[in-house]
Amino acid sequence: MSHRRALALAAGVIAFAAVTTVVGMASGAPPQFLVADLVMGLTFVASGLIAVWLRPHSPAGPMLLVCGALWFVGSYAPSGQPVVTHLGFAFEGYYDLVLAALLLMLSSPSLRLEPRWLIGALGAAMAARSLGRLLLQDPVRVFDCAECAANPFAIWPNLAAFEAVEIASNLAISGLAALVGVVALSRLLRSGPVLRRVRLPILVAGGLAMTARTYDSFEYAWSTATGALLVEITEPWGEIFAWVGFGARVLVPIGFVVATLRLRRAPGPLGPLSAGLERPRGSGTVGDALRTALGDPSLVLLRPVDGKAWITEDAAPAALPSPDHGRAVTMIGPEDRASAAIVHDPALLEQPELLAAVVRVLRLALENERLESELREQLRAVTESRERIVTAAEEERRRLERDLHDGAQQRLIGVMLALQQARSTADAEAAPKLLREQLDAAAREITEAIHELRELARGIHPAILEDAGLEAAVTALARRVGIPVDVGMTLDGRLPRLVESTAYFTIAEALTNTQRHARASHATVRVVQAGASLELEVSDDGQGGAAAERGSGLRGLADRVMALGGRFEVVSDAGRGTRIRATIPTG
Amino acid sequence: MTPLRAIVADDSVVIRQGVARILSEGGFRVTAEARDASELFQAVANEPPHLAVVDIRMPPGGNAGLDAALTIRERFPTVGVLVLSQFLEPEYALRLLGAGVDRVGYLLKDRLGEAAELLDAAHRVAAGGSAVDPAVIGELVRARRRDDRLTRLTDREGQALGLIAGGHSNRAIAQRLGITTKTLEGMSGTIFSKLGLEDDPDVNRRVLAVLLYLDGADD
Repeated sequence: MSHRRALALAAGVIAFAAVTTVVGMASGAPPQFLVADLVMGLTFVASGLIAVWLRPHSPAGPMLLVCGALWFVGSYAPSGQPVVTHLGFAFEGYYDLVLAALLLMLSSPSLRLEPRWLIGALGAAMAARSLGRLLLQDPVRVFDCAECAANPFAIWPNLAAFEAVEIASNLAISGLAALVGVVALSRLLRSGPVLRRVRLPILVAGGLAMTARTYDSFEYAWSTATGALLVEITEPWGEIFAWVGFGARVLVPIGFVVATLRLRRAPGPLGPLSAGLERPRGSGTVGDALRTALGDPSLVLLRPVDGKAWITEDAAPAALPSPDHGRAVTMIGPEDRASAAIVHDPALLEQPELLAAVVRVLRLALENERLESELREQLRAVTESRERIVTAAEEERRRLERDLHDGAQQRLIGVMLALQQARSTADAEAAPKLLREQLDAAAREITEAIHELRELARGIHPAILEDAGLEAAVTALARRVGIPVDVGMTLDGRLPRLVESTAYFTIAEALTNTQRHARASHATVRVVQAGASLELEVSDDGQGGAAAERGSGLRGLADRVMALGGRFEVVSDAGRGTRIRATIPTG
Repeated sequence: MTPLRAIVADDSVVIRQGVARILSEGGFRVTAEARDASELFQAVANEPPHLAVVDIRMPPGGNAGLDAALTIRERFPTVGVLVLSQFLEPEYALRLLGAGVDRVGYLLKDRLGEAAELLDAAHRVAAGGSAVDPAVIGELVRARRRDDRLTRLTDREGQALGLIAGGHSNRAIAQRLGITTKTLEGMSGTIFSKLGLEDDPDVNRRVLAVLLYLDGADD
């Protein structure tokens, strides 16, 4: 309902209220009765307006306004105006029909007015009673009939028929009102936590209202049938009970507004939700964030698998509940390829804007989560492939070293042996001096080639590293460096091959740099196995000024160390020596 | 005189036969050839030779030859073991020598081009002495340069030290340096006192002392 129409309706109701009040005053009704009645009726109007403002899409607002209008019908049945009196008496109490509808609607899991037949039946009973009162009764007997007046609407005055209709319709109204109360309260008992928390005051007030209606109508039927009151109540208790009944009805709109405001304000949903979604991973799931933000502990977040089935956050298979199961489902994303579904308390459906906002935030969060996990997956793949590449390169070096030693070098030694034999043959057979000199020269060349090959193989991958470990290999390495190198190692036995070779080549490259560029007189190598990582440091007392970015050797080392998930650092201030530090995970 | 018996173990047939030929020409009788460690053990057990020439790298893989050599040294103390290696790694030589330097040698395969060097080493090892490749000694000496005690040696003393460490006899060293044995004995006394070592008349113990010094074990 638009605000303008709601205001027009409210204005109409207020005008009507004013008229009835004036009529009441003219009829000499007690002022406290007038004021109380006016306040109660206007409470419906005010609540209706607030409801329209807070929930433009909900029928609750207009219903409350209509309720307010109906409130004043029949307020002053005992008046001096026969027309007013008759109409008032005929059509009093219809606000209970609207309250019953509101009650059924608010207690329903889907927030729809159901069962409709109940309201239909109640309405029909009320209409029957109205028609009976309007058309069959003449004169109208109200209370002790001191002011009994002729009924201008009576087309077939018949007391027996009137009483029959009055008894039947009031019994029906009484029973149906009781049924509405029972339905609403039993739904309350079965409803979800949000609904129960929010709706409790409304439904209890509504239940009381329905109880009052049940009693009233039964009392009517009883007194009509027997001519006596059901229970003799002395004043002022009769009056008090009547007002308690009215008061219970007024609690319904008040409770409704309070509940609406509570739903709106209390959870402050988007702030906590986005904060919840931002929490570091592991401290709570998206579902937890949603449950906290929407104040619905029963909320379940489902994710689609294979496009059809659903799983919970614990990866347990789940099905979307059918709409009649007292649960509501909100899809995140398009229905056919939703990124998630929230199964929640239907009470939340009353806040379509809130749900829409939550869906937006959640969609972003889930998208974010998806991208993040994709990214993590990619990072994992890249990290693994980088490690595989380093491992493969390492294997390749090892293979190359073996091939050089067992292949080329063996062949060269074979050639050398053959030359040696040729030389001794040449000696034995007194071959020309020139030939012997040529054979000697060839042997020298071969020897050189063998030396070079040996150095090459050692540079590619020292056999001693694999054979005797890091300490032996670094000690051997240190012997060959042109300056004194102090080697200190604290190792816990052998390390994984890749760790050993990475550490070895890091140290080797660092010492090569020291020897070539640092003009150092002394170098120190320290290797310590600390927990699940190997920490190594190569330092010299040279001129400093080395940087990982500059030398491709250092850069390559840094890459190699980092490919294994380690850290690499060069501290080399000019004039203060160079210190290379690396940490290599050993696990 | 009965010729010294020798066994040659190398997985390369060219090298095996080449070494066998050099040894035969040098007065050894090569009684068996082996292609891998198990054949070597079998041949040695069959008829323990005076000398086993073993390639450091042999099947089944890695430096199986070095392990086989160590095993033979332990189980057949009378057999001299000369390891031929393509690795210029003092670590291997020192590991092979272990606690004693008798009947053992570590020679680079480069020496196969110089039959005399190989035979010299082979005879020394077969006779109960030791032979360490000059290049390996050189590596150790280079690493020791930082020690100023070593720099106190004259060039000639340095040469003598290398030869001592290589396992040569006093007579052979004197011959190489072109001095008399008596002069060499005086020189080695000087060397040992300069290095702060105790001179030992036993050649093998003297070699070990020098090698340990060069390896820095006395630090």
